This record gives sequence, C-alpha cells and structure tokens, in this order.
Amino acid sequence: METSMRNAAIRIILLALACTFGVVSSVRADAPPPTAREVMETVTQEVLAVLRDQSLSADQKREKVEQIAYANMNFAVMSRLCLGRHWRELTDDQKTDYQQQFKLLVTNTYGHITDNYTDEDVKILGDRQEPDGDSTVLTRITGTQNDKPDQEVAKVDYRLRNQDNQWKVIDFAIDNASLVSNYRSQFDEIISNNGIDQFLKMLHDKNAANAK
Amino acid sequence: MQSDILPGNQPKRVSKFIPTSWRAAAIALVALTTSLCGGCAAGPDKADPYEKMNRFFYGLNDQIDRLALKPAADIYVKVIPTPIRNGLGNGFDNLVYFNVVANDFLQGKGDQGFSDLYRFIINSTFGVAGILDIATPTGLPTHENDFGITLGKWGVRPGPYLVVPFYGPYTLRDVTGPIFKDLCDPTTWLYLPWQISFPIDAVDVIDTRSRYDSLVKFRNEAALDPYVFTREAYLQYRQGRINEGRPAATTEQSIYDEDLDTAPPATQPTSKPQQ
Repeated sequence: METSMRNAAIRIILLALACTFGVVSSVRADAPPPTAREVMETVTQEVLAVLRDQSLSADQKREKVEQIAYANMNFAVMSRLCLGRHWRELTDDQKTDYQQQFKLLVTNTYGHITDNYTDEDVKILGDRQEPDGDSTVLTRITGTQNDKPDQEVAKVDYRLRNQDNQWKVIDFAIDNASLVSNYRSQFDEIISNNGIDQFLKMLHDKNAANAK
Repeated sequence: MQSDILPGNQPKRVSKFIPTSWRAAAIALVALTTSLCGGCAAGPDKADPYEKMNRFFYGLNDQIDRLALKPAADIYVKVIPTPIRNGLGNGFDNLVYFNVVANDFLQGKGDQGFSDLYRFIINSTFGVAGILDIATPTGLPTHENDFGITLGKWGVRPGPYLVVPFYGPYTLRDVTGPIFKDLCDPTTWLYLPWQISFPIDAVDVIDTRSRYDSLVKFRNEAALDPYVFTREAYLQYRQGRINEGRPAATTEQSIYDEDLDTAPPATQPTSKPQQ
C-alpha cells in the first residue's frame, strides 16, 4: 500500500516537473528566434527523417518534403528576384499568375529529386553573413558513388533572408550554380526577345508538360 | 560529346571518342567562325557574344545525344552489370589521372598533389590499371582538376562562351583543359591502332553519358530555355571551381536587391536593354 502511495506521489511530481519544463521551453522559444544556420539544421534533419522513413511511399515523401519546403522558403521574394527588372512590367494579375506558376515549376522539378534518394547525408559546413543582411548557409551532400561511401555528391549553399523575424530561403546554389541567377538569365532573355505574354505562356506550357 | 553538361558534373573524362586531331579541327572551326563573326559580335563585355553560332552547335549536340549517345548509354546500363561499369569508370578516371596531379602542382596545391600522385601510383599498380579503386579507402580520395582551372587561378579571364561541336560547353580559356588532358593521357602517346583505341574511346564516352542521365532529366524539367540554363550553370560552376567557396567579389548590382524601382535607368523604366 505504502509503495503504491509513493509511486503516485512520484508520478505527480514528475508531471509537475514536466509541466514546468514545458513552460520553460515555450518561454525559451519566444526569446531568441533561430538563426539562419539553426533553421537549416532543423530543415535538413526533418527532410532526412522523411526520406529515410521506410513506411512512407514515394508520393507521401514528396508531399512531406514539399510541406517543409513551403514553410521555410520565401517564394514571393525568390520569384521576384528571378524576374529582376521585368517585375515592374507585369500587371497585378500577371504577377499573381507568374508567382503561382513559378512556385509550381520549382516544386515540381526539385520534388523529383526526392525520388532519387538513396543513402545521402547532409553536413552543415558553415555560414556567412552577406553585406545586405542575408545569411548564406554552406552545406555538403555526401553519398555512395561508384560503390564508394561518403563521396561528395554536391555542395549546396542556401541564401536566407530575415523577414518578420524569420529566416527563410530565397535562393540556393548547387555547386555554385544559383537557381535565382540561372532563372533570371533565362527569363530575361525570353522576355527581351518574346515579351511577357509569350514568357507566361511558356511557363504554363512547361508546367503542363511536367505534370504529364 | 557532352552536350548536356550540368553543374557539378563536369566530364571527368572529356571524350576521346573523336581523335585528338578531330578535336583540334572542331576547336579550329569554332575559332575560325568566331573570328569571321568578329564584326557582328555584340560587345566585348558580354559573356556570350557568339550566341547564334553557339545555339546552332548546341542544337546539333543535342540531336547527336538524342539519336546516338542516349540510346547507347541506355543499352550499356541494361546490358553491363553495375560492378563492371564501376570498374570501367574507375579505369577511365585513372588513365588520365596524371592530368589532375599536374594541375594540383601547377596551382601550388602541394599536399593534394602528392595525395593524388600516390593515388595514381597505387591504383595503377595494385588496382590493376585503375579498375579497382583501392586508394579511396586508404584515405586518398579522388579530386577533379584541369588546366582551365589552373589558368583561372593564375588570373586568366574566361573569354567568350563557346559550344564546341561534339564536345559541349566551354569558354575560350577552358578549351585548354581537354587539350592538356590529352597530353597527360598515355594512349595519346602509344599511337594505338584505331581498332583498339576506337572501342576504348567509345565505351569511355558511353560510360560517361550514362552517369549524366538523371541530370539531363533535371535540366529538361527545370529549364524554360535549356541553352541559357546550360550556359549559366556551366559558367557559374566553373567560376565556383576557381573561387573554391570564397564569394566572388562583384562590383555589379546584386541580384538579391529587391528595390527594383531604385535601379539606375529611372528615365525610361520600361525600356529594352541596350544591345
């Protein structure tokens, strides 16, 4: 009898402790928002956990990775940067249409990368403060190549911008080739030669072709 | 024959499919055309002054890839088991690995140079002509290096972007890479009869192409204009190899500046870019 009483008491104390820690940890979360590097550390761990989860189908994995990406990427800024000076030439309707289609294009193409996942790992190598206040987080993807484990597959640099006290990805560069810079050149050349209407049509056609 | 090169996946072994003299002819053709076309070039500051010609050769290379290389690589992957393909890949890498060693030293990277030299020696001997990569597990990893990177580190600017027929994207500076590599290739000096060298070169090209497949798919999905996609990715990748992670010092306006309305041409906000 006495032991069961004691057990109950311990249980209550543990519960109380858990509550206290719960409060403390929520207070801590309020105080310092995560740095750009911490954001990327969390994102990387979350994505790897999804990709390594054997119980998920390929479609489920894609969906979960997409959700993580949507929560941590600033598509509004990214899409504007890709248009550069042409952004001003779009009507409001065209801007909305463009941003939707751009998000679809990026999600579609990069989503397919999750299908190719085998045993890759990601290491955060460091971070760098940019002159304009952005932060670049440097990472390396390693995996098995030619039967050799832990080979460098690619270096990926993520550029994050702080908006509303939250760091979100606005560009990433695979082996130094930046998504924003690449699309900016493509879009500029298409719009300069063919105009905005034709550009938007090409974007729609591309997404339609990728959806097949 | 890499018409579809993507960042991070530079051909470790640029094809010897076409003998060295053919390569020289291809480069000479480009050089001749570019000099004839000198008057119609847009301007010396543009990275791609020969875009019209480059687009033509890009299309040609793409057709060759679609009609010959891609089908051949698909069959190769289906027929030859993975361990054998890996062994062949190792062997082709090792054959021209002295190219990496030489460029390590030319760039003053002594440690990497000796590491790569030991790697080359160990794999060439105990690794049975490089087919077994026994150096990697002993802590001598593979590196990529070429003479174009060396020149870049010495301060040579890339010059115009060139799509070389049968070979793919280069800059004027970087075409020196495959030429230097051929000089480091023992088969260049052995004067092998074509009955032997041709099959070796053909398998090398097909093996290389088979490793690019997922990247070609990626390009086809991601790019609105595959020509510009390839050009930008190539130029940035090469610059990255020369800078080695250090951010490039740029004087031009940052592409990350969102304040587009404060951008210079305030007098004619919707004007077309100058030629």
